[in-house]
Amino acid sequence: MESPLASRLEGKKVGKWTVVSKRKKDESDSSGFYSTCYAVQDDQGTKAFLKAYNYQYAFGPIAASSADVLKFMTENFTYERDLLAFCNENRMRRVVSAIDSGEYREPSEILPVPYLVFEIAEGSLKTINFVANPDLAWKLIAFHGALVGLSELHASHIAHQDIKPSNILVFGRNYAKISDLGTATRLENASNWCKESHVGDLRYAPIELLYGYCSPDWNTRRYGADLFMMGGLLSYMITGSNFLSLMICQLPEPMKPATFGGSFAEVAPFLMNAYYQSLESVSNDVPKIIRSELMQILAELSHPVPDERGNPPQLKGSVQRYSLSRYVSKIDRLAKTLMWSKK
Amino acid sequence: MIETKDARRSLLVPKWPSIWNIGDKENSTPRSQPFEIDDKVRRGIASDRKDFREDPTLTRACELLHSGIIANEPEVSKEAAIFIIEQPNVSVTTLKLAHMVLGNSGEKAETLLPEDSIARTRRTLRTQTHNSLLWTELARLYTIKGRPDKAQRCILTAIDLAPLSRFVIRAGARFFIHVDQPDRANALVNKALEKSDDPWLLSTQINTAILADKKPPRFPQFEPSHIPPDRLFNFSELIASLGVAELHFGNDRKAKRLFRRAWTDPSESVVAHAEWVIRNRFPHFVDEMEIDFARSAEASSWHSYFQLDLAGAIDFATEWGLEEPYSTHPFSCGSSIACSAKNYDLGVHFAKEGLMANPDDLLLLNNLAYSLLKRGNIREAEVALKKFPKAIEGIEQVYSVATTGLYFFRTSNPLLGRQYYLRAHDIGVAKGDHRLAAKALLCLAEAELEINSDNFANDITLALRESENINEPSIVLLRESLLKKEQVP
Repeated sequence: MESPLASRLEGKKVGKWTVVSKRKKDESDSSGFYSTCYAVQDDQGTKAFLKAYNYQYAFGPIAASSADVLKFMTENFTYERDLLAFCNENRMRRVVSAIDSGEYREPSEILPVPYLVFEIAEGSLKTINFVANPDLAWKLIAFHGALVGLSELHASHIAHQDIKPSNILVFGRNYAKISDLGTATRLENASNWCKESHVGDLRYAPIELLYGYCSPDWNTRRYGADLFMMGGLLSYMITGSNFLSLMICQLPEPMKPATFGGSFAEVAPFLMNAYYQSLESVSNDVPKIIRSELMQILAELSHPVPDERGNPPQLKGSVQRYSLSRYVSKIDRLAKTLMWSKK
Repeated sequence: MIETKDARRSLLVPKWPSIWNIGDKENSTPRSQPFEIDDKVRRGIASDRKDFREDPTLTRACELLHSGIIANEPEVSKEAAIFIIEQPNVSVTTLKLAHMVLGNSGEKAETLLPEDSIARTRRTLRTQTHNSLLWTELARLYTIKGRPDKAQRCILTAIDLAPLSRFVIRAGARFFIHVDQPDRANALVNKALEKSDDPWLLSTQINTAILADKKPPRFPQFEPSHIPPDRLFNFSELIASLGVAELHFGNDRKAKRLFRRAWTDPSESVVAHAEWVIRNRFPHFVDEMEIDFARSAEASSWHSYFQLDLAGAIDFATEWGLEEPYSTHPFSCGSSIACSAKNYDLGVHFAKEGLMANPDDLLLLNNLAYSLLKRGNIREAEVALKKFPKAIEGIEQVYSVATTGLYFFRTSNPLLGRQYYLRAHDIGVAKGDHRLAAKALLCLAEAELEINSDNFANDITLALRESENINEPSIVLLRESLLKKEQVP
């Protein structure tokens, strides 16, 4: 069976872009998955990154009806496109924006290939080794960029819902931006993803979702999830390990998400114990000069109980529970403190 | 005269394990559906694994380690962990995580002495103020150290932090039972059950209600035969507790039906309770039901004792004491078995261990005094005897008066000693406890024999006659020993 058009764009001219190469070749491309990514270049030599959506996926061997899947896919594409346009209009500096979008058609193909084109980065935090020996100061600067990007989104009532190392792109030496609004959702204009307890990648999900718990309050459910994922990212930047896996490893076997089937309230005390143990472990990897403040940030972002996550309640009134502004300024200061201490 | 608390084992009281030993199924609720990861994650892991194998870097290994842990794919995380532990410049946290994945870490707080553990736990709680499990642990440690006042403050903090946690609530109930406040234990469980229908809490509700002399709840809608086999373990304690309630109401037939169901896939506490039920209430179940007593140190200890395997019983009682150091039961049982085996040093040791957490427990004081008198430590025994309360009521009178009788025999006042033993016998008869009454007579005969008294011949005849059909190890062994002595001219 021939692979879908979205997976066969190499060498073709898509709008003003010439498709140079596929970004990543793996088995999912030939099986006709949801989208395929390419490195592209325009006539002026501007390099970019193209995400091609594969509508043919809806007609593949999947359980749901093709009409439903196609509807879901088109809605998601237009939602992401409009969201990116909104971010662009609102000058969100730290959110990777789409520089072009459109639909590619071929006479022999029935289905068009919608696409989005993004600015190209040096790499993501997942491939952090593109920077020679990144130190913690560099990592905190990159994390700061991601925090600013997320706070820009939150300020416009957009929850990202898929924060992970590969979605934080670094431009130039250390200018980090948050990318991939594919599973983002807005408070006033909910996406398909808002209908259920969903996050982009389960591996980075807030811990409550692994236990099937989902707060009825939108702010707690969505911003709370983003904060937890930011905590996971911070722990990854400090130690190389995501906070979620640290916590799960500290749990007794019957309490792990794979085995426990009880209520979230029942497992919460065990999560708290695992949380404290994980914090204790991470603190060993933080330089003393910033330890107390950085650990406080990690503790607030990664709290296992979504209602307790974020800014401490004693700050209520002046600071909203899930506001990121306090963290943005603190991380900035801590990164600078580290740099100065080295000088 | 030594004694145990076997008669008080008719209820299913929850165990209070250390938080460092919570690995059993009793604190878990199994999933009704298996844990499944979506296609996207599965593909992501496959892709990460391929990348790692093609070009193994530390960053990729960390990513794979994380994915394997979340997706519950141990072979994936182990592959990454093996790589990570060989790398230089790995963070302390990631290195520790990799070792945990490979099963190389095993620090347990239990290896410390209670004093050290208390100091360490208190220190940790300064920064982990909202850790309800740690507050529960501190309460347990204070209980073991015999400081119920401090323990109560800690357990109340834990309950306040986790009012719906099965582990915390059952620990709280166990604490209030320990300090003889079953009303409070029952109220605590009732409150938690306002927002929960956890079968383990329902079980505790039934038993605490009986302990508090309240009418135990009944659940007419609940039909144990409808529980699917794979969920039966999770309901075994509730079903057995319903059986206990039926026994309490005098409905033996219904109780038997419930016990049969509960013992199909029993929890550890149900196994321990089954040993008591079978021995004391329904002996015919021995042939009918196959219960693996080895799953419970408590059950094994009693089972071995009644099989007169004293060495085995002592080993199991030691294990049981380590599991429940706050309880009086393993130590009263252990000291009795040790004395039956004529190992009075061990009897003293067991009693002293038990008295650490329960300094005023009359039975443990009695067993300590008895063991010390048998060992010849009269002065130390006097100290223990002085700690007996002034007014003792109930069947406790029997053994405490009998042990005082032994004291007078050992302090060259056999006449007074004899009077005490006979009084103990009379109290036993008056209270309707013929087992204890007969045991008092056997102990008197033994004491008379030890001083070669002329009364021995008469006493032994009477004692043997009264204890003829009693199948209790300490009595059986005393009878055997006296019969041997009687035959020696």
